[in-house]
Amino acid sequence: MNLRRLWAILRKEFIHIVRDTRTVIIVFIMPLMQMILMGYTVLSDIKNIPMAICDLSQSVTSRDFVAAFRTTDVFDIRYEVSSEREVARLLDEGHIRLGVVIPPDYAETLARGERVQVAFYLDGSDPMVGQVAMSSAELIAQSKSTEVVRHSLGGALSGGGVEVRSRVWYNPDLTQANFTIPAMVGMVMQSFMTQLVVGAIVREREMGTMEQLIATPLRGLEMIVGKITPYIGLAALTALEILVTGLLWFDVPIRGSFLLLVLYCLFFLAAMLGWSVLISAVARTEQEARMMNLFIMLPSMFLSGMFFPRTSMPPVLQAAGEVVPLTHFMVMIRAVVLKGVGIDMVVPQIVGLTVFGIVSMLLAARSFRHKLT
Amino acid sequence: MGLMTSLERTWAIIRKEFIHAGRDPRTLVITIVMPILLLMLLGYTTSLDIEGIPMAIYDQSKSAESRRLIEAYQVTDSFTLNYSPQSYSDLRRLMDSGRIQVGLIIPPDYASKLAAGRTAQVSCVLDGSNPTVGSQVLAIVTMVGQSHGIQIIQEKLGISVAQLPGIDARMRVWYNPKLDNINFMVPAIIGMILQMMCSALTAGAIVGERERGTMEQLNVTPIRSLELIVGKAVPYLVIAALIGAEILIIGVFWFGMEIHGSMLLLIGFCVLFMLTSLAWGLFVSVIAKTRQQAQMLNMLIMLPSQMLSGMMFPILSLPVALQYLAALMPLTYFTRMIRGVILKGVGLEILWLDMGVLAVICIVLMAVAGARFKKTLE
Repeated sequence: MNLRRLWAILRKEFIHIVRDTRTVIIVFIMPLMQMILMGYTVLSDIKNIPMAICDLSQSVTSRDFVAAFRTTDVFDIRYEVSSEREVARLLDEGHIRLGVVIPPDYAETLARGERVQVAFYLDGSDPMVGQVAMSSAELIAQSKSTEVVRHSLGGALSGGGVEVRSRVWYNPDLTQANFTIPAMVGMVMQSFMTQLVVGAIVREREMGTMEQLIATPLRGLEMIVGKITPYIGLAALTALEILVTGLLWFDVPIRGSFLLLVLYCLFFLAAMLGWSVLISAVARTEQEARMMNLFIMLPSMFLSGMFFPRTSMPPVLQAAGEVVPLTHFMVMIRAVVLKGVGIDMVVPQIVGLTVFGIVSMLLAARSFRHKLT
Repeated sequence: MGLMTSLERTWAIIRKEFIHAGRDPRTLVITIVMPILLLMLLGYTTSLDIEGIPMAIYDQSKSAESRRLIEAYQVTDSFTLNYSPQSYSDLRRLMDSGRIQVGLIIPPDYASKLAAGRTAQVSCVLDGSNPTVGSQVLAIVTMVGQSHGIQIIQEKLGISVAQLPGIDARMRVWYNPKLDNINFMVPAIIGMILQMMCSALTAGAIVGERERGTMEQLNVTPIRSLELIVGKAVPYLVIAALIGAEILIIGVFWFGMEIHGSMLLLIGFCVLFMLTSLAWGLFVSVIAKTRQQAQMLNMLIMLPSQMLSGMMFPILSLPVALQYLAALMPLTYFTRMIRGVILKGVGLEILWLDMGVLAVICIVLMAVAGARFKKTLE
């Protein structure tokens, strides 16, 4: 490899980048916009779920039950209505997601020592909100129920039973941002890196200037290294930008070492490099490359467990997720950001990424040589 | 006669556009296969059901009582008991490496406390990395413990559940009783695809013509600007409609989704939304000079509208500034309309306002784009 020739192509590529305002926008404005928008959507905690209470009992006991909904920040009691019909209307119009109807004989039934039924009407159209609302509402009802049982049994067995003391590790306040920001870093790095590398190589071919480059004394390897290095730099810069804005704006604490975090990110970029080159070798036009990239990127986002737990997926898809580099990176970045554990805890993931990187690089080198000659 | 020739000219453009699309079969295949793949993936990977969460129990009591508690956790499908660590540090390692997400620690005095009629405390540690999963796991872990405790009390007193007072939560989930994510996603994908196809592809086709310099060639033909717009747009509207139908059919027949409202209303809403997206595409095409600019302009509306409309992500409360932004996005109204028809089965009596606003946006965009389009042609 000749350094002077390498430098020449590096310079050429930098000039391209600076000239093309689109790249600058992609690198500096898009990620920020994405982050800020996501901050109020994906990252927002599921709380203050709008609800309505229809308390037909209007007793001390029922008000005590309602108070339990008031004290949690999962729900926000927006309406207090006096008939079940109004609850239904509010649900239909989408003003509330949960309606609770306390029957008129609520206090009397409980006083007689019998079981009483409280009706919960839940809008299930958004399952994510629905799940949280449902489990929170059930928990409130059961806690109240346990309270009632203990109360009615009197002092005789005020002890008794089992108490579960839960502690939430890694993300004690169950903050959504702590979960999503690290995931975003991985996703953005992956998509931007591929987008930039593919853009650089395929566009050259599309404009027909690839032949000109081939006619120069440049060797294949020098050309690839020279063309790609600036974009790796840009991708790393973007990742850093996301990391810093994400962490500062949304207050995500890093429990582990920052150095290790940066190391993981670079390692992931290196593993994805082979993949990006492979796409650019196969695709004929930029449009096609973008389509192919999207075709692979979307599945990998879903299979990686970035937003949705992998444990709930069918076994086949869980296995498929093992092949996706993002899956491994998610475990790694969460290990260092949220758990604060060292590299010894993510050895299988590192092995997985290395294998992916080497295999895709070999494939890319083969198809590229084939294309060039 | 005038109408006939006008139709003929429009048809010529439509044919030309279809030939263009057919020349690039790879892109065409991807455009058609993509939604299927997307739907399958979303259908199978986006479940938030708490099933088979890997769990470890560190049983220091090792008694008949503690084994009963373990059983109580095992019978729920929520957890799979994978490990029985023998020390706290083992448990910590399992959590740190991500092999388990819940750990239960039963103290040595568990059985003796229960025998003495005192409250036995067990500790539970759980991985809160994913808050949605974490909060549900927290609720399940607590509830299993509580109901097991009540059962123990009942056995002691020799009474059954029915005899005890208590509150039964009678959950009725409306619109999507199984909280099935596919029912949420199908309308979302339809909205996304319709918007993408109608605005991005139309804008691309028109701007591309200008970029290649073939617009002037079209200008010298007897074609009128309205005919040109219609001719350019129709193929993409047709493809978009086909893909929309494709998604709906897979959703209904593969995933068993039900359409609760009127089919006619659904089609009407989709057409209105497609026209609005098309109007935006035309608007973009008069502003943008190159295809890349058009793409960027489209991204500028696509991304925020997908995020803010509540199409993909739950929106419970937005800051005021973003609320105004969301109110400008056609997708915001369409989201409410399509979910209303498909999931809730409500009709115009509730959705008339959303439909009205969307229609106004559509007309305004059409008028602005149409007026400027004529000018750029002349």
